This record gives sequence, C-alpha cells and structure tokens, in this order.
Amino acid sequence: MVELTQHPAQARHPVTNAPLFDDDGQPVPLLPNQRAIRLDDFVIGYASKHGINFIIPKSKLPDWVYNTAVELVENEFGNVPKVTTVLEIKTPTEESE
Amino acid sequence: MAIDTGLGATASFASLGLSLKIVSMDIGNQTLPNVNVSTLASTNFEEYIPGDLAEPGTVTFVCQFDNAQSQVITGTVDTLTVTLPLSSGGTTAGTWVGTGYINDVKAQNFVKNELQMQEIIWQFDGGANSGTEPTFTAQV
Repeated sequence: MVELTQHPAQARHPVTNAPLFDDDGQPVPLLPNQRAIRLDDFVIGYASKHGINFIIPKSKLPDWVYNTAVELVENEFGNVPKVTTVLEIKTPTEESE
Repeated sequence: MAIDTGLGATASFASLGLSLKIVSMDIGNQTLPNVNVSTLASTNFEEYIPGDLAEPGTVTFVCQFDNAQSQVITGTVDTLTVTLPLSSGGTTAGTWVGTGYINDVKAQNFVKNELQMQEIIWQFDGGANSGTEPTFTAQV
C-alpha cells in the first residue's frame, strides 16, 4: 500500500537535544511541511510542495506506485512541480573494460 | 543493534530537484571551539572550557558526473535529508536532516580511462533564518 505520512525526522529539545514527543506519545515532527512516501511501511521517497524525490531508482519503481504517489501528493499539496529519483550507478566491470 | 555499511544511503533535496549518482557521502564534523582559560597559575596542562556555538558542519558528495541531468546550483537554501540504509529489524531508516545550501562544486576532470567525477559540498546553515539545525533521527 502506498501512503503519505509525516516526514520521519523528529524534533529535539533546543537545550537538552532530547527527542520530543507530544501528549499522545507520538514524535514531534521536525519538518511539518514535508511528507514521507511509504510503500508497505518502508520509506521510498519524500515530498513537499516543491515536488517528489524518490530515494530508489526509477527502474525499481512500479508504475502504479509512481502514479499513486503522484496522486497522493497532488491531493496534499495541489500540484507536483517535479519528480526526481535516485540514479542508478553502473560501475564498469572487468569484462566491459 | 543496527550497525551497517554505507551501501544504500540516499540523499534527498526538498526543492532543488537533483538526481545525483552518488558514490560516497561524508557527513562532516560538528566542531565546538575550545576557549583557553589558562593563567600564569596553571600547572602541567593548558586549560580549556567549551565554546558556545558549534560549527554545524558540511556534507561532501562524490558523484559520477551526468551530463543529462540538472546541474548543481550553489547558494540556494534547501532542506537535505540523508536517509541511512535500513538495518535489519527496522521499518523506518534513520535520517540526518537540516537546512543549508551547496557552497562548493568541483567540476569534473577529463582523463582517459576514467569516469568524469564531481565533488559537491553542502553547508548546513545551523538553522539560520528559521531553518532546521542538522538533526539525527534514529532508526525505528
């Protein structure tokens, strides 16, 4: 399942640097205006009003996941100005050299 | 315990829209200055107290240069999220997050039999202008 959740970074106390929790015991978000895109609970990218940045390569991103994520971010922020993904590194092997 | 290698770490810029072919990332030092409080009455050692403000540090990226991608812009304030590799037993990887800007780009060398590489340095701004201090959040 693809879902949009709060960015996982947690705010810290400005003096003690201890992680902060709200009254319900939930982590206080460090970046309230950013979201994490999760596929089956695992973070696969981040989103904000500036767009989407997937942290996995496009080739490993099924179309339905990509499209669902874009739709979710459109619903949240109104539009998706740009989408970027991690680029795959192809290191030359001994055979190809 | 969640120890791991660096393989799988990623960097995400909230608004710059960069796709980088990252080979290595180095999160630099947060350095607190030392204040020397030695006097003529000191014995054996110089004496120090901790300074007030630490340098927030930098992140150095070594990347394969990709001529087809958007090129790096210096000086634009953005939020960087470095996501650690997800270690076994976790569902949400740890992160380093902070606002800052790219302040140094070393463009590629052209050498036969070698890939074109570039080096990019991100400066954390320490939370200037209501930004976000560099903050580590552990894996859960």
